[in-house]
Amino acid sequence: MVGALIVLAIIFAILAVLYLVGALQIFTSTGTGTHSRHALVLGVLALLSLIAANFVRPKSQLTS
Amino acid sequence: MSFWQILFIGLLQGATELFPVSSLGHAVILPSLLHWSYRQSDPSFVPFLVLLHLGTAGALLILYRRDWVQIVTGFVRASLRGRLETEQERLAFLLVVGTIPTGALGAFAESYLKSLFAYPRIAAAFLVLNGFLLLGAELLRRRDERHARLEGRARPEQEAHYGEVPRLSFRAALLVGLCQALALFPGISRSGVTIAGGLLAGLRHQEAARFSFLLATPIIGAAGVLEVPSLFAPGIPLGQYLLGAVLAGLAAYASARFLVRYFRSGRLDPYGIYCVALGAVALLLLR
Repeated sequence: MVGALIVLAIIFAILAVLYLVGALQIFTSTGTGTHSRHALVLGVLALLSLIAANFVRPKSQLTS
Repeated sequence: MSFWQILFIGLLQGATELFPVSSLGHAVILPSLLHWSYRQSDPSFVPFLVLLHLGTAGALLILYRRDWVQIVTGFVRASLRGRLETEQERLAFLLVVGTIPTGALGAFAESYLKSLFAYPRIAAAFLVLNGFLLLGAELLRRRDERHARLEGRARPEQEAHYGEVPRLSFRAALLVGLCQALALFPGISRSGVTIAGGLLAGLRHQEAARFSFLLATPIIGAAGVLEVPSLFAPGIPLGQYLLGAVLAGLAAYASARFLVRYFRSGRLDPYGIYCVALGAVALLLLR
């Protein structure tokens, strides 16, 4: 599960970069140029995927 | 738009944003009904509406400022720890889950949704649908109250049977978030569908309204911030728009305070009937 979420985060991050440099034009209004809004949303989703991975990773139990 | 029209739309948007009657629907339908000459498909109209939304988001931030400090710090702490320990941390992640559907849909379907702003009849049809959604949510709540043998009891007693926001499940928060995504269509009320979603998830009315208002802040604020660069395009009367935004914020603050009080015992029915009636009248008059 942790691995899947990290892979998802990487995919979101790559898509964010592609939108930011204008290499990806799917779901855009203009069809040309850069799309910072799409990049921002995908960047946030990448960050949230990493946070989710942190939640599901096995944690060591410290006993006192 | 004239100066007075900007002020009128500002007050209207602020007053109707948090009432479950679709501010966007009103902002699209009413100017057409009043035969105002400006075009809602004009490139300057959406930035104006977004600036008004920023005023509303500011009012909500001020109203729930203590909650937001705890939500933000709770989000950061829980993210780093990888575990939820307090109610505020849980609330922060409920809001994140509830915000994702609208954020994603808003960004990727923006161009299509903006095109709907040009058609007041579409907004009127969605306003009628919004009314039926509100009435439907109350119908289901009343049926649930009958099953719980709460029928005929005092409203505070009925409401006490239902839950508070921190007890909401993440699946329910996602459901409310999906409801919120419906509000990207002009005529569907964001607060209306999220309060209705909250009721379906088992929240009491006042808590559903509180969750709706908290959920509104990041999405309205983010949408506003992203549109800020377009406000500096030539020909946009920024000073007048800002005054409209301040009026929207003041009206939203007063509306939120009223609604939190109203939903202690009030229901969605009056707003549902109002939406059906206004939407139907607009459909008849806008040809």
